[in-house]
Order: sequence, then structure tokens, then C-alpha cells
Amino acid sequence: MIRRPGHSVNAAAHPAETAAMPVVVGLDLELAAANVARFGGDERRFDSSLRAGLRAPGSLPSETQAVQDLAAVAAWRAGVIGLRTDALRALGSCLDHGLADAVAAVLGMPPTSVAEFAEAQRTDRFFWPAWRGLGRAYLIARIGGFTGLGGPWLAHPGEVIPAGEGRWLVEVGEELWEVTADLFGHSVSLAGDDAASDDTDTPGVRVVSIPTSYLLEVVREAA
Amino acid sequence: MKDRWQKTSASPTVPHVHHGGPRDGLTAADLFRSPEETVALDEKLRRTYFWLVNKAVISPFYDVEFDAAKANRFPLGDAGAEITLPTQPAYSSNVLLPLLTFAVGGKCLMIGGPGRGKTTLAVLMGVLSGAAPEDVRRHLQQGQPQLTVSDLVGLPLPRDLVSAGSLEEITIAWKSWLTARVKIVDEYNRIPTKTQSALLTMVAEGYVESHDQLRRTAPEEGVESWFFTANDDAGGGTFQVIQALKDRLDVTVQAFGFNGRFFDELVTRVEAGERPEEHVPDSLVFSPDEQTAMLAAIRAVPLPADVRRRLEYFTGQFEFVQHGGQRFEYRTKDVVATAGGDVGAVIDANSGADLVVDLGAQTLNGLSVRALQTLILYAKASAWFRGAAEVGVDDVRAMVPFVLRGKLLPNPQHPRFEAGDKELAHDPASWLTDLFDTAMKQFVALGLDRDDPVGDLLAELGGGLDGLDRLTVSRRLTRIESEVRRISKVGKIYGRDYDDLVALKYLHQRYSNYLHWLEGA
Repeated sequence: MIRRPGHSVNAAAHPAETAAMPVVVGLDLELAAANVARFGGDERRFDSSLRAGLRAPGSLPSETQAVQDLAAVAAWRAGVIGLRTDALRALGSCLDHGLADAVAAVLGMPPTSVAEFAEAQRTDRFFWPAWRGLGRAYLIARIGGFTGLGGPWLAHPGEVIPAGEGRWLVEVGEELWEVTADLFGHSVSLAGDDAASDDTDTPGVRVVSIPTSYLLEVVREAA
Repeated sequence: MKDRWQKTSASPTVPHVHHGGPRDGLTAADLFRSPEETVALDEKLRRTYFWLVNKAVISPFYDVEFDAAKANRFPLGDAGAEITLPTQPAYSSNVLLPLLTFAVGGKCLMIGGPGRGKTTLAVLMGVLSGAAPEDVRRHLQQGQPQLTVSDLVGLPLPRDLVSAGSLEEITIAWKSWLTARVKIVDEYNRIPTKTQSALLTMVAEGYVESHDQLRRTAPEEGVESWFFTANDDAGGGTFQVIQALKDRLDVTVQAFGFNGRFFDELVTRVEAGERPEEHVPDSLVFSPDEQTAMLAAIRAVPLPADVRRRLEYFTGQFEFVQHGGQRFEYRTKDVVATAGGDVGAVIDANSGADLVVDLGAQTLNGLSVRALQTLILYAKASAWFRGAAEVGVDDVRAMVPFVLRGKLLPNPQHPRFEAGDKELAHDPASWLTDLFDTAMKQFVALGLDRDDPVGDLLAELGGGLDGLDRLTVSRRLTRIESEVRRISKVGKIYGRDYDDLVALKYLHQRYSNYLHWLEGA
């Protein structure tokens, strides 16, 4: 079996085809979906998450800004890691505006867990309520892959050096690559000459390279 | 019907830079912006390049390569030809160089026989600057033997010529092309010498003069670039091009012929009656502000110290000639040339040096500061265009044949051209690349990438003289003298030693003057 990159949080939830997206005046949601793909996210997951949020009881938010915030959370949920900081802001804003049901639907969790999730994500970028207290090590994500299968690398990833919160430098052949990851998404890019480790580790999380695979594994260690 | 010209390359055009999108910095608003609004300027320039090369001028000649060491090489025929298949993106020089000229606000000469797309490319550059195709064609200056200065810059109003009491009262009807952001002079080697001089003033000084009145030719906003075409680069044409005007041209690029394997596109164009300049996608047009920002970004690309050192080594080869003068400082090709001497004969008289090792023996002149500045700017533009964070040796190597063509002149008496690689005698681009590659091999063979005593001494002085005591200064003077002694003992002197020795004398002067001052105090 060929293993593909992906995040465990998506393992149980497959995006489904649904009805047409509601029309929101002033926002081009089709453009947003295309941009999610351009920014490295899953366009279908964004589509289904945002629809779920807009259909949730007590939604459709009347303000354009609220829909835009909901879209940011949906794009983050769909793997756009570049939106992480703004999505956490948007998540807080949605909660402030009484849209807990909508964001819960977007994220795929019970409304009662949303506030705790938002708070915990600020200190632990890999936190997911369903995994709390699991008591064993578990896989968070697989990252990278062979160029011939659509991945970034021509050689097996080698040594992994922690480079900050959610950041790692990886030796791949003669090149140095930079990996950034959180619960929902990741980014892999050639490290610039200024890339440096800031000696900040990600507590309880390890990135492991396996000699027989082109994929890196992000693993939560047993508590 | 969908306009087939409007398709542009999908971003990103640089492979393997990002997998999974940017790692931070996005906001919710970015989700609702069209890709055209958020595309970076370097990406826009790359997309423009690919549109030009794939849609507009059909130039499948990928001669600018960036990974010479890793490319696969296949020998062809029995005359030493080979074709290389690079592993990194390669580019077509006759499109890349005009486009980089557009980006840096330079001056590009395109040479080649008739019907090779030179004028079309120049007109396309005008359209990329935002001008309408018909305006660009109207502003194009067609070189011809009767072209007068008035034809070029404009006429005094006849009414004023009769009634004016002084030159200041004469109104000049300036030609509108003078302030265009992209200026095109077609077949510039057919322009009479006097008119060439007026052109030189515009190119060099940025103004024109007529009847004691001046007009600035730089555009009010954006960046000005010039495109010249000629079907001869060896002094032919109706009029000899004045050397001062030739010296002002930043890059010279050869236009290629049409590849017969791409005839289908030609047939389509004939059938549709289409011209590429009338179909430039709006998304590829650069506003004046974008051009200004692009130039600032290119200038800001760093040139690392190790690349600069290699560039210094290469350019230092050419000024020195052993029998150029009596004093050491005067032993240069320029001293010989300005005294009316035969530089080739003076080089030939140097029986002490190995002509194969002495790269300077292959040229009749050294490099001007203007040429060096141009090389630096175009190397930065190359790095920026390729999405690199800083200039690499490959960027310098790629630009050398186009920037130095016509500026670094081959010595036809050198055995290289007489008996060696005869093809190099009429292929200046390959010769210049070979010259650069040989210099880089020498640089490594001499261990200068690891050990650079003169560079260390210069860096030490760069730290400043303030606070240095007499003992420290004396020690440094001793080190300088021992370095001069080391070169002196070798017995043979090359161009690379000339620059080092002049720099060592400069250091010696700075320290000894400071020591005198200390002792006087």
C-alpha cells in the first residue's frame, strides 16, 4: 500500500458532496475555494465545512465579516496552515458573536468543545478534544513524499532538527527543507539561507524520519 | 470564442519552492482576493517570460542554463558540437535579456538577420509597459540614412522661426516618443553619425537639445528602458555606430531564427491575421508603480561576499599587460591603446607568461566601471527573476556573455583564435562564457576560495584605523610587504596579481601614512 501525506484528524471525516453553497452578498465563495487549493488546502473539505457552518442552527450570519471569519476557520480546517494565526482570531470573533454552533459545525466537533479547543490551540497547535487523555502515542500527520508521487522530495528525509514551535528543519539529500505543521495542515519548503533553529521544541511532539519511507511522521508521544 | 492568447502560465512557475502553500501570514481577506491581485512581481515577470516565449515569439532556444555541472551532455557530429540537457529551468536569451532590460530600466541591443522577431519583441516590451500597440509602433524610430536630429527629437514651429527675437522664443514641437517608458530604435546602425550623437545625449544624459532648449527624456513615472536593433554587430551597416553609443548599451543579445518544427503556430497566425502585441493579457502589463517597485526589489537582492570575490578575480584578469608601460601602475592595455599602440603586439611581446594560463592575453582591453555595474545589476535581476534569495555564481555566469559582448574585445592574434577553437572567433557569447568558466577553475585551483591573504588585509583595514597602536600598524605593514615579496618571487605576473599588487600598495600607503601621523603626534 502506498502511504500518502495527510492528517489523522481528517481520517474519519470525508468531505461529502452537498447542495449549492448559499449566496452571500459581497463574497465570492467559489473564489475562496479556489484560493484554498492555491494555498495548499483541500478545496472539497473547505466546501463541505463551510456549508456545514452556514447550515448550522442559528446561522446564516447576516454580516459579511462574520461569514468571512467563518470561511477563514473553514480554510484553516481544510489545511491552509498559513491562515492559522488569523483563523484563531476569527474563531474567537465567531464565539464573541454567538456563532458557536456554526464554528463547531465547521470544525466538526460538539458546540460545547469549541471554547476549550480555541483556548487549548493557543498553547498546543496539535490539540484535538477527541484525543485528550488517550494515554498512548498516536500519529498526528504524515508529511512530505516522493516527487514521483506528487511529493516534494527526490531523496529520503534524513535528520530532523526542531526549529521552533511547530517547525522543523529536515535534511533531504544535500538540501535543507523546512517543515511547518499544526493539527490541520502543513507546509514544506526549501529552507532559506537564513533558516535557523530557535531552540524551541514542540512539547510532547516528535517528527520521525523512517529509512524506508519518503514520508515524515508527526507523532504525539505517550503522556 | 475564447482568445487563445490570454492563457498565461499557472503559478507557481518556480518548481519545488512550496508544498502545502505559505506557512504563515495569510488573512481571511486573502481568501477573497483573485490570484492576479496577490501575485508577486517576480512571479508576474516569470509568467510574462513564459507567455512571451511560448505564445508571442515562439523561441524554443534554451541557451541560458544554470546548472552546467549537472547537465547531461551529448556529443554531436565530428566537429566538437554537443547539446546539453539541463536539470534546472533554462531560458531563451533573446527573450530573457530584453525582459530583464525592461525590468532594470536598461538598454538592450538585439542583433540578427531580418525577420527574427527583434522588432516584435521590442514592441511587446512597449506594450508590457502599458502603452497601446499602435502607440508603440508610432513611437518606434526607424533608422535610415536620411534621419535628421529634427526627425528624431522634433521641429521648431515655423511661425516662431520667423517672428522670434531670440532662441528662447522658439517653441519646439517635441516628439511624443521622447518621454515614452519604452523607447525603440530600429536598425540603429543605419542612422547618420550626427543623429547618433543626439541619440547618445538622450541615452547617456537623459535629455535632448534643440535650438538652445532642453527636454528631459526620462518618463515622469516608472522606469525607462531602451531597445535597439541591428542586423550587424561588427561595424557594418550604412553608418559605423559611434563607440560612445555602443558603450552605453548594457546588453547585446542574438536573435535566433525560426525553428521549422513550430510551423503550425505560424500557419495559425497567418490564417487568423494576428499579431502578438495586440493580444498581450492585461494581467501581464506592468504599471509605473510596479516597474519602480520591481527595480527596487532587484537592486535589493544581496550579492554575497564569496560571489563578489569570484567576480573580482574574473574582472581583474584583463587590464594588465606586461609591456604596457615602464612604471608598474602604467602596465595596462588602456595605456597602450590611448598612446596609439598595438595591444595585440604588446601582448605577443610578453614571452615570459603562459598565454594559456594568462586569460588577459585573450582580450585587447579591460572592463569599464560601467560594464561592471551593469553586470552586477543584471546578475541581481537574474537571481530575482529565478526566485533566488541572493545572487549566485550561476547568475553572474549567465549574464557575462550578454553584458560583456562588445565591451571585452577578443585578441585575434591569440593562439586560441588562430589555431585553437576557431568557432570562438565568431561566437563571442561562447568565448566569454568559456573565459568565465576558466577563471572560476583557476580561482579554485589557486585555493582562493579558502585562502585570500589580500582580501584578509583589506578586511582588516575595513575595520578602521582609529585606536590602532604603532606596534599593530608595523605588524600589518610587515605582512603587506611579505605578501608583495611572495608575489615578486614567483617571477611571472598575471592580471590577477596586478590588482592584488595595486591593492597592497594602497594598503601600505594607508598604514604608513597613519604611522607617520602617529609618530608625528
